[in-house]
Amino acid sequence: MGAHSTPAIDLVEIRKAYGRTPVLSGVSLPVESGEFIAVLGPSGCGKTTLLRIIAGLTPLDAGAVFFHGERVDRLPAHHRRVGFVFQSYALFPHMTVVENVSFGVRHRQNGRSPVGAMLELVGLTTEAHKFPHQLSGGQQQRVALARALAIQPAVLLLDEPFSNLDLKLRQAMRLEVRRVHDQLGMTTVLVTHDQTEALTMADRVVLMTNGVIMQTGTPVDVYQRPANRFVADFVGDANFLSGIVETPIAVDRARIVLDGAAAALEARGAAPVAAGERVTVMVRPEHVSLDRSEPGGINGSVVRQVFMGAVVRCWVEIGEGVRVIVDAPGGGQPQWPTGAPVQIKVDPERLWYLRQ
Amino acid sequence: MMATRTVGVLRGTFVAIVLLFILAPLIVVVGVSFNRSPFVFFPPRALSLHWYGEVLRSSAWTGPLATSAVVAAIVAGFAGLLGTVSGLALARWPVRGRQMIELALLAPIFIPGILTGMALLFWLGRLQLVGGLAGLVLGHLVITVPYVVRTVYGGMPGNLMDLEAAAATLGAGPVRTFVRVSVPLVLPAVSAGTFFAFLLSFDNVTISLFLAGPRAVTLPVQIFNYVQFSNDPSVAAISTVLMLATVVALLGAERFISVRQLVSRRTLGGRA
Repeated sequence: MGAHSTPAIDLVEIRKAYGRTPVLSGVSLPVESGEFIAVLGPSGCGKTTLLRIIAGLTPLDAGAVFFHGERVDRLPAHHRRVGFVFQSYALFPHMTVVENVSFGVRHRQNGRSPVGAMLELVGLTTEAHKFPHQLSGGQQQRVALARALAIQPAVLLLDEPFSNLDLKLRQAMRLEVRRVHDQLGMTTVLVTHDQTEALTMADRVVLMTNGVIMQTGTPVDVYQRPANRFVADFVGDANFLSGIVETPIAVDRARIVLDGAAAALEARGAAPVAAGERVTVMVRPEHVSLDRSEPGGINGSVVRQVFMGAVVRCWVEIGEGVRVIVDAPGGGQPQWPTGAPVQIKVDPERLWYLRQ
Repeated sequence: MMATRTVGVLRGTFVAIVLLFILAPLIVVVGVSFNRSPFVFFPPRALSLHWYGEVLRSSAWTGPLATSAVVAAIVAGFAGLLGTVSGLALARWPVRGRQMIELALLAPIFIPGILTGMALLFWLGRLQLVGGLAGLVLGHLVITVPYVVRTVYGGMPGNLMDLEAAAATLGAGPVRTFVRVSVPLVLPAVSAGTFFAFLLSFDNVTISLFLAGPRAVTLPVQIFNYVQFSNDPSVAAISTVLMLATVVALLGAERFISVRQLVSRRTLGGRA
């Protein structure tokens, strides 16, 4: 993030409540020009309200919204120049594709209308004179995108845009929207509850719950270095193991003895911890491996395994009621009979402690 | 093969019986209207258009016919307006409390007309509005507005709020959004509701009985009064004229609105 550039969108201490129920409790977020941000969170966390506040579709109770340094939170939606793609697409059913896309285009740029270019961009030139109900879900989605982009918006806002599509189409549309973003360099905010979507599409992921931001960071940050248990749990699959700090090594490193383990392991973390402190250690299933007899691991037994294609997911019991999920490579790897004694080994670079 | 045919024949017969059941009384009325004699015979013994000439010349019938048409037209206009505004407001109402408002708006549909009529007589009587056009119009509005609300609210796109929001983000102010998006999308339901309000008002007896008076008698009330003391085919003749007018109106309206919208639509309560 350039320290000197003005953010394309700057949200400052946004607060909003419906009646007595707070929906947003002081959300601040600067978005750099050209950046692709994904706001990720469970339903009801306030992410859609936040998006609607940026667009001017929902009034805020307190705080401020700036577009390129200019305060816009008092500006009505139709003066904000935001491209908004709705979850329901909200295509005008009584207008054709080309009428939908040109609805917001009032002034031709250099004598040329951007409508044709937008239809070309989303590959719908041949469908221009069809009505929305004659199009497939994916095509409707593209029309919604083209319509939002045709007004040459200051920012593009996407509200759960892929949730009505089937998996294959969703994956294709994610790549396509990202391609369009890269081509136009459009500042984009995507709201989603789908962590894969957030991780694959965004430059930065913002995790929200109960109206507050839990963490903001790159996809790698939030996946490998979650700020707290909520983030670790919401983004991807994770094992959480209890342990006690043996010796702190650095502000972000410590040797930790996991419950039931013989030896201490080195783990990284976001904050310093003290010796003797109880911590939770997170490790992703793909960073744990199974071994039959190598010393230095933690003893356990396989209680269940599921073939998942690329990996075999194993549940290994390492203590009374303590289970670790392990993603072992699939294919020709040896299978572990249920009940087989095994040792689990974790990649020490991938152990991440969280303060309790 | 045989089984399929038998089922087909049975189904056809059943449909024919139901249609006959529904249409038989109408056939009798139309048949009687072509009598020449001053007595009601069915089938008529001699065919004539005598009673048509009689009713269309008599101000006892043309007066109430005109009153009914005027009342129905005014009622349709106001009911269309009030019902549309209420339907749109309902869609904007927060989910909490919406069902209560809905129930209140639709209540007159569930209350027996005779009770509504009595209640109206009481209130409009105090306001000196019984026996004139104004009373009839107000009374008919009470029972027609709920139907328009129902038709408009049920017939508008489920994501109308999103569509209006979309228009706003595309730079359209409230007026442009209303004219280009909201109106075209609710117009079919509004026309259907307004047309229905016209028919309901034109046809109403229970409310009109209480509110009609010497200065304003609607056709259904006139028919009701007439058959209590006389029994000649003039009533059949005027009824046949009414039926014909309704059929023509329906066929004409079908070109612009879907009459199906009046009968088949999403149920009101089922919307989040």
